Formats: sequence, C-alpha cells, structure tokens
Amino acid sequence: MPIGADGFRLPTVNEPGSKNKLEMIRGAGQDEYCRTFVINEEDHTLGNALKHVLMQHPAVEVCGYTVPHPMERSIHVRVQTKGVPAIQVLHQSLTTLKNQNQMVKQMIQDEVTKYKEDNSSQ
Amino acid sequence: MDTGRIKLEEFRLVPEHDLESPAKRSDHDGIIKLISMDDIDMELDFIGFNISLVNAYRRIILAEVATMAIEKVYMYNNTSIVQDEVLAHRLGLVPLKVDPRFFEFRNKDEKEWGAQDSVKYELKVRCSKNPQASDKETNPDILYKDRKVLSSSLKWMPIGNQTDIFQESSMQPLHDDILLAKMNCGHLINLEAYAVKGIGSDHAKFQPGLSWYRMLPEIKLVREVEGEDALLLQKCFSPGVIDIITNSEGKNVANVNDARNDACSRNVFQYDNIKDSVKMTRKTDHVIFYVESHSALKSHEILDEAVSIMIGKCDLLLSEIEKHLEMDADT
Repeated sequence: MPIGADGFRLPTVNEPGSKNKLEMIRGAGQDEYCRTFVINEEDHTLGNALKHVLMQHPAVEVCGYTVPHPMERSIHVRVQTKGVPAIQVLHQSLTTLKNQNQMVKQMIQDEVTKYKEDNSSQ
Repeated sequence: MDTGRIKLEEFRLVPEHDLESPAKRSDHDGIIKLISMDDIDMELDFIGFNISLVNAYRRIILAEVATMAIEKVYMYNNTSIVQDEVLAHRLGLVPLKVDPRFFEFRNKDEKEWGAQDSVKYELKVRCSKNPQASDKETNPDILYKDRKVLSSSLKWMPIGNQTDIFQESSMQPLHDDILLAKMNCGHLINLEAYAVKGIGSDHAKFQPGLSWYRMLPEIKLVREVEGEDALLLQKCFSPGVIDIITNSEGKNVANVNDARNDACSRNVFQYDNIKDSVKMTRKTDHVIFYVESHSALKSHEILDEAVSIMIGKCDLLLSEIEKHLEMDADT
C-alpha cells in the first residue's frame, strides 16, 4: 500500500501513475494455461489464502505464490491449468474466496448478535 | 490441509490422517462458534476452515485495520526535561476514543487539517507551587500542582463542523491516566497535536488491538494412570486440564477434564514412567482465535473490519481481472 508524504498509509486507491494492480509476466513458457500473475500492493495475507483456494480448483495442475523481494509490495502467483485458461481459474477462485469471506462475515455477525441476546438477560 | 491432526511427539510433530471426519472437507461447511466476548476480549472457534484464511484475518488485524492516532505535533513551548521528539512520540502512542469509521484517510499532498480527516488536540500545562501544601511537605507530587502531565490534559479542539457530529466525551484519550511527562516547578508545555487515520503496517500506534490463534489441543490417555503417577501427570499439564477421579474399583485415576486450555508443553516426556500413557494431538481444522482490543473499536468490530478488508481485496482484484478479460475479448 502506498505510504503518504506524512508517513501514514493511504487507502487502497489506484492513484494515477501508480502500477496496475494486476500484471502478467510475458515471455517464453508463458501461455494461456500457464501464467504468472503479478499482483501489486499485496502480500502473504492474500497470497497464501488465494493459493489454498486455487489448489482446490479442479482445473489447476500446479499453483504457488512467491514474494520476490520483501521490500517490494508485490506477489507472483503462478497458475498452471488444464482445459480452462489460467486467468479464468484465478477469477473463479477469487470469487470463491470472496464468497467464503462473506459467509464468514455473516456467521460472525450472527454469532455476535446471538451472544449479545443470550447475555443481555443476565 | 488434508491432514486433520498433528501429533506431538517428544522431538517432532507428526501429521496424522484423520479417520473420524471425511478425508477432504470442502471450505464451505465451516462453522464459527463464539466462545466469549466483551468489548475488549473475544474468543471464537473457526471449525473446518483452512488456516490460511484465519491467518489472513490475523495479519489484517495487526497491519491493516485502521485507527486514529496523533501524527503531527506542533510544539510551541516545552521547558520540561522531556525532549520535544520524545514527548511527540509518547503522544502518538496514546490510544484515542475517536471512531476511525467517521474519518477518511488524509490525502498525500494535503496541507490543511480538514474536519473529515483530522482531529486536533491541545496540551497546555504549567507546573506551579501548590499554595495548600504545608511548609514541611517534601513530597514533590503534593508540593507542586500539575507535576504529572497525564493524557487527560489533552483537550479536544473541534475543527470546522466537528461539534455538530461529535461529543467531547467520544474524542478524548481512551485512558485518562497515561503519564506523558513529569515536570518541575516553573516547567511548561504548550503544544498542538493532530490525529489522523492510519494503519498498523505504517506504525504500531495505529494497531487496533492484538490477535492470535492456536489449534485445538487434544489429549488422550492411552492407559490407566493411578496414584502418585496420576498426580505427576496432572502437574505436567496446565491447571484444570487433568483431574483425578475415583473409578469403580476405588482407585484414584487421572482423567482428561478439559484439553482446550492446555498450553501443549511436553513436560510429560520428562518422566519415563508416564510418557507412554498420553497421546497429545492438535486439530488443524479447529482454530481458536483471539482478538484483544486496545483502541476505540470493540473486539468484534475489529474482526468484522478485518473480514471486510479481505472482501475488499478480493473485489479490487476481481474488477482488475474483469478488465483484463474484457481487453482479451476485444482483441
């Protein structure tokens, strides 16, 4: 995340002139079914969770992520697939991850309301 | 993770395939159980979730959930023995009652302090002689007034229309007894401080609280342990984990009461006579998650914010991928 002139971080906005959030590495060995995605301004927080969701996807043959340099905030996610283009697999997996998070959010909210109700009577 | 348990042996951890629950759980049948909660502490169980997701929440709580903290201090006068930069740093660490959700992040090149992104405080104290003190008094705390500068002397100064939205009681420091400086007679501090919204990865003063997790410990007694050995076994684990019951034959035997609270120490392996009697494992798909707030946000609000931030991350990346997919479709 960009750090402002005064030191504190700015929210996740795509400033003009800043790097794209998502890039793809070009070159030999890269094709539609075998891609390395560069996700800027992300770290292990998203990388590890995303990798685990990608692994569950039936079309994925190989996938993994790395942080190329600890001082640069970007991760490389490699996805190798069978039958479905890698970018679509990434899209589907991210949707799965998002749905899972929304489910968790809902469950936490339900539990908190239930807990409050149960404990307010005492 | 396809293994359900990790076995704790004397010198190593062994993954153990879970035979009781289905071999592969889908990530969609997880459940969450709230164990205990108040405004400050929270303990909840994530059952059937992958640990990477739980770790993401922990990382977000520590690094990305925003709070308000003092960021800039204009020092007009400071004749106390605490140096300007030390005092400014101490002020930054004071937790504030201000709810960060009412504020925006300050822009990069902002020069003015706006009502929507900053909170102003003033600290004006002078240490003087206490006229009520007796002549024989030697205790400087009684001899002088305002000898201790506490966080309660930070006075909120509303910017713009902030008085319409906020009340003074919700803008003060969270604790009013934080010692900022000690002064001697005649010393004086006069400063203005500005608080902004920030995140923990920039500075720890912006952290909303603490968060940690552990996997559920399980203890199984493989054979009967009685008498002296049972007492010894009890001492090897955290208090309350092992209790001693009298069985049908009238023997005092060890029994696992509540393995949840075990610290998972391997003390039992010190004793050759009882080390074969227990099997210690940890469940990898049952995570006990703790949140502890030391900011304006309540514990459950912190967790809620963390999950929202994670959803935001997914959304941002999803829209970016959709842009790429559209571009491919055009060409």
